[in-house]
Amino acid sequence: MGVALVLLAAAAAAWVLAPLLRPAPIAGAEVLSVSEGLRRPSAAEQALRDLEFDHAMGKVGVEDYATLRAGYEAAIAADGRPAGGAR
Amino acid sequence: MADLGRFSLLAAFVLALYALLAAALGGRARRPEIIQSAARALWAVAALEVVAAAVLALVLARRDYTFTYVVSHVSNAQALVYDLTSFWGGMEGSLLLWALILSAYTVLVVRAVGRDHPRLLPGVIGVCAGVAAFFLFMLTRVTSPFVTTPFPPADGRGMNPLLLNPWMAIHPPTLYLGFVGLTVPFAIVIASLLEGAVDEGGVLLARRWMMWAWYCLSMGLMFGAKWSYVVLGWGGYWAWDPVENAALMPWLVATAFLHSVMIQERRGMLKQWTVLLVVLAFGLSIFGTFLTRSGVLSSIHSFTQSPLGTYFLVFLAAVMLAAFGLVAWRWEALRSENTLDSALSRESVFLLNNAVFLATAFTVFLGTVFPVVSEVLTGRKINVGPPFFAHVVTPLALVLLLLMGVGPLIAWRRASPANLRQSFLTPGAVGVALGLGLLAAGMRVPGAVLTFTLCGFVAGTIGLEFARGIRVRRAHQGEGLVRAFLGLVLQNRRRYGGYTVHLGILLLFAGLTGSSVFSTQRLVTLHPGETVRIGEYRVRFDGLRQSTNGGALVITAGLRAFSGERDLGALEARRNLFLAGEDSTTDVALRSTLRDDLYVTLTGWTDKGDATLRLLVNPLVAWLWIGGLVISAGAAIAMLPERRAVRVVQPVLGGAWSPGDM
Amino acid sequence: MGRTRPVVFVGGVVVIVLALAYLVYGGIQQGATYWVTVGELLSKDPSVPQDRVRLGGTVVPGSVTWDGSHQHLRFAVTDGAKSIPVRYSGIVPDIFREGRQVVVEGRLTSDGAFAATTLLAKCPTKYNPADPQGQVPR
Repeated sequence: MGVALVLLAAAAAAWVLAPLLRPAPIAGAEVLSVSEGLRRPSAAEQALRDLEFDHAMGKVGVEDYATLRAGYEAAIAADGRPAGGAR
Repeated sequence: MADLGRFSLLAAFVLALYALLAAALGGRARRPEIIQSAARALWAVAALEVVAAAVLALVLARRDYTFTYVVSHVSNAQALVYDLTSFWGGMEGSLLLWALILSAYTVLVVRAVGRDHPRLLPGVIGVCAGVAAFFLFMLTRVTSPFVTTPFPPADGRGMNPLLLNPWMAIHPPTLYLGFVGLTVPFAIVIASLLEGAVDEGGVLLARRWMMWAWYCLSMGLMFGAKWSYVVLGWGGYWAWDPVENAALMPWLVATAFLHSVMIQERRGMLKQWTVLLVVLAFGLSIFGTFLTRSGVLSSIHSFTQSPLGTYFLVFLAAVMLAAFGLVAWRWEALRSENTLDSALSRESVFLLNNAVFLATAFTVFLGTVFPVVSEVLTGRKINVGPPFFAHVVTPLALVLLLLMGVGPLIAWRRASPANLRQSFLTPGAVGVALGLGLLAAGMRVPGAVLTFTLCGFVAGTIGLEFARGIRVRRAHQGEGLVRAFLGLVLQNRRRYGGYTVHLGILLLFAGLTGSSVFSTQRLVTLHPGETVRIGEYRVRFDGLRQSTNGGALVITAGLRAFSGERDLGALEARRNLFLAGEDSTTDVALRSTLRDDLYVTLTGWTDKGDATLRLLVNPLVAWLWIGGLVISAGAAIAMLPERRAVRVVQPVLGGAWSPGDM
Repeated sequence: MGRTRPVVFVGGVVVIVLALAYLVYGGIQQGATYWVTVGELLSKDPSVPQDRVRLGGTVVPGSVTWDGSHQHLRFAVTDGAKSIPVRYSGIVPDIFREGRQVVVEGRLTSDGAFAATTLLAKCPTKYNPADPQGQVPR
């Protein structure tokens, strides 16, 4: 039992510490791959949808609707711009 | 076996400390490989905790009485399933369960954060590792589940028989899923604050976890109430006990968060407030664990200093100081540009709703710690019991009920008179009509009439929201009624799931009012064959019967209930006297309908075969449990993820700290 | 929260705080019970509250008498040194036993006995996952 535990502990320690031994990546890293897929709506997209719904239900005044909508669309546009790092 | 268990926990503790340090160093130096090592360490912690948990489960199942924990919670006569659920029946096992759930959540959130918000990863790993380290410290140094005795007894003591019940079996794990769940939003928020400020993506992620934790807390509270009602036999479901309050406080703060976060998402306001709520909710969950574990307030002696309590308090104080300090440091970064435009707007209603939730949480807190505070201030320990809580919380709850109706319908930014009239005239009329109807029917208790009037109002607003939504869909898309309804709910899951939850809360209010205001009670001693009247029921006592069941002597009172001329069937009220340990439990004779519950307990008997019975008629109790189901359904709808088929080109950068290649 | 209209906001907060304080004060008046010990009650010290008190102690073995037909319970409670007789009428919780810890709420009567309106018994185990064991509503 004791030997098994020691071996197990050593293996776990090795696995945990392994990443430290790899060389550090280059600053300003390069693109390794591109993944496509589904994603959830962002906060601004969700807010815009809710706004449209509220407007249809009569809970947002005309002026407020225009102001809020402009704000959300600007936020979505800002999100869409590719950022320097991973999202 | 014991060695394996102890070693696993010790190794896990060391690895958790390592993960904390590595996350801190890696985060500061911005070295992804160190972060990755920290993430791996947390994976290893999870695996080790699983090993320890498996050991404990195994020795419980095997009834290995060399372990003192097994001796305290298992006995040869106990059913196997309860031997297993005693895992969380005692302090050591429940702390291990806490740590295990935290590890499971940590693994999930580290994956999600590593994929979507990698900048938050060091902070999230650090916080999760820190909390895990505390619990593992307790499990290794203070309360180990793997304490052995050299002289194992032949039989264990078994659990308190009151706990041998399905409701009590699932109540602790459900509550823990909630308590521990509050750690994750806390970790996300702390990580965001360390990075600079809380961005929208972080808020969304935190909200999803908070919703889950809230859901588990809600279910845990309901299971506890159900257990209290059905098993303890005192006729009630909530006693404002410190242990009950311990779960209620974080629930109140989490509910406040779920509302204020909507304002943050829509208008970018209240970020500072929302962040504070997350920190407070986590603090209350640790405080709640401390309250339930240390027994400091349940003790009938003066403030007992158990070492466990001190450790918890020190940990809580340190974490809260650090967290609030961090919030204060980033205070200006959290400030929003938007302001409150009008006192009559959805924003202000939500703000008021939050204020009342916090006021309620504060009240519950004050009432719970009152003995400690009063002893420090006046030298004498003073208790405040249910009358205190009822007196303060009832008006607050009624305000919340009103706001629950006003909030969903009132306009954003600024409500015009037209909007108010259009939205509230019909529901207001419904409420008033209901109130007048009840008055006409003879209800004279003003609090109850007011509550039901408000319930009518809120039901009207919810109905209006569904009706209007369906109408809009049919106008735009020409769908049939059923399709419009389904489409409405499924495409606006957060909103209509939330409305469903409100409906469940409504039913809860109705059930609470009915059973607390209009309950009737009788305490009688009957000879066999005698009948007693209570409310519109007549109950006939048919005689006592004695039998044995397992290790218990069972005294059964046979009863028969009638309403007018109708025979409602036979009922049995039992007392189980356990031969070992001198405990006893009560089996309630319960006949539950939508209108009321007939609730009979056997409280005493004589040698001559007379029985002392306590009879209660509790109106509307069934609505509580139905309300709980509706809340559950609403929460499930709201939590279903809304995935959009958006084709995303997501560059995966080398050097990004994601644990993906583990 | 940004630059809200300060007067309205502060005013609102003040109103809420005052209302809460008023409710809490009233609640404490209604619901407060004072913890006392057997020794304190027997000392006849005027500063010791005598009404709406909570008394904790152990049920003296051999002191329990139960009148089933009227649901009258009599027993003595001790702090280890002295004991005081208790009269109680009502439901007795399942875990009430001689030698177990008990909490009674009520008042000290002129004849030296304690008239209890509420009886709570505590399980002797150190950790109670759910506390309302044996709690009896008023």
